[in-house]
Amino acid sequence: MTQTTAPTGRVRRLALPAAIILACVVVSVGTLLAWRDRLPEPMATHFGVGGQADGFMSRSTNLVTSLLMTLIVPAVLLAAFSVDKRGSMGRLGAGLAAGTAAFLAALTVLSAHVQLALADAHEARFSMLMLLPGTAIGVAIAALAYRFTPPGAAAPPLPDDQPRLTLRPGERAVWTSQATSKVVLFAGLVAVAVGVVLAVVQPDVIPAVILIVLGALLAGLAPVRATVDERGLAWRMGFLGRRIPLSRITSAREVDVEPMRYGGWGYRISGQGVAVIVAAGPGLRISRRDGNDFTITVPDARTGAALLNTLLDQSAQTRA
Amino acid sequence: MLLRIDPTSPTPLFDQLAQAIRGGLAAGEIAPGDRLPAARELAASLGINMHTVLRSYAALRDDGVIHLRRGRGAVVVDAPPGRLEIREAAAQLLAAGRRNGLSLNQIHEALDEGANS
Repeated sequence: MTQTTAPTGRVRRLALPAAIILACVVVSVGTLLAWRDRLPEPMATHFGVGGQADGFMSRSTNLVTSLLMTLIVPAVLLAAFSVDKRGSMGRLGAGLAAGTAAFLAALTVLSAHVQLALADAHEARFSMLMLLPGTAIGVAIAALAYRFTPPGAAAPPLPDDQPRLTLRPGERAVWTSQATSKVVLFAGLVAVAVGVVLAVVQPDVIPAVILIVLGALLAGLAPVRATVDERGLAWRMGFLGRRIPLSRITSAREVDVEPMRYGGWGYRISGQGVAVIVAAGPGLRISRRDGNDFTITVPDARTGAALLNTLLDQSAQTRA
Repeated sequence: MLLRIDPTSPTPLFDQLAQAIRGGLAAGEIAPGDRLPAARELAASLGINMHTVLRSYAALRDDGVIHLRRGRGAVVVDAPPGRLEIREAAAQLLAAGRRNGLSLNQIHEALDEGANS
């Protein structure tokens, strides 16, 4: 079943973001062509923090550069996320790629617009505030692409080789496991300490206060906990956390986590799905009905996976 | 830590929960210094009343297994009595087995026999 549906699913998932990327390329190139006679030669293509133009290209080079950038950067993002055959990351990749394309196209159009009818591109000004509408457009298009890209192919039924445990009829169980990120805790405490020292030696207290608050927030993210019960999986990372209902979970397993494969430590979004990474070692990984995986590194993940799979079996039996 | 309770069993729930926690400690699944889940959360997870969980925690505190502090929750003490007792008993059993030339499997069998008799 998966064999026959996978290719169409993949095409459907790629169609929308690909169309958006092409549309963005058409908009960038079309705008530069339409305004060709009203733009200075050479035109400004880079602006400093203060908004003054500090990089220049001929109009034709800029046209080709914009075309390649708007096409290649999002295409690479899209390809990177769709490597996963099950397409679990398809929606995230689609959103990211479409949003990036829209952001790049918006910048091309906005930066050309500020140079319209200028004789010399050195006079062009591009305020940092102009990044706001560009970012807003990018985020909106990203949300749109995410919303309308179909989720990954339905996960296959729970394989029997996944760990299970035995629950007597009527018996209730809860599994919970915790870990503390020493790196995060240490970094947070160092920031607080530096802030305190700054506050003492420096008359201006604002940087010190910012450092102390950020350090405290960071340290507050160090403890991590995962809990499995009849309601599903609940995870906490300091003051952050969410519950993933049992009805949205298809299977659970223990994995060996190498943080770099998930993009490092902390709350990560990568080709491996969403992950809360504290340390290398065992992690509880669940597959969700929407195709996105979730991983959290906690000790004794095998027991957690076994309980989750057992609860999934039970709820499948009640429904049947 | 995996905690199980059986609402159909005649043993009171708070007793079952305290036993489950002691069991986890004896088996090494719960370590000294571990923080037990907040009573409210554990109660919601198991579908039981929060006061039942608090009663278990109070019983464990009275036996010197955990510290209960407002705001810090329930934390397993450094040297919980049950764990030491089991470790000593296990060491004695192993020594007795060795003296009498029993293999580890035979010691396991003897334990099962003892549990079933």
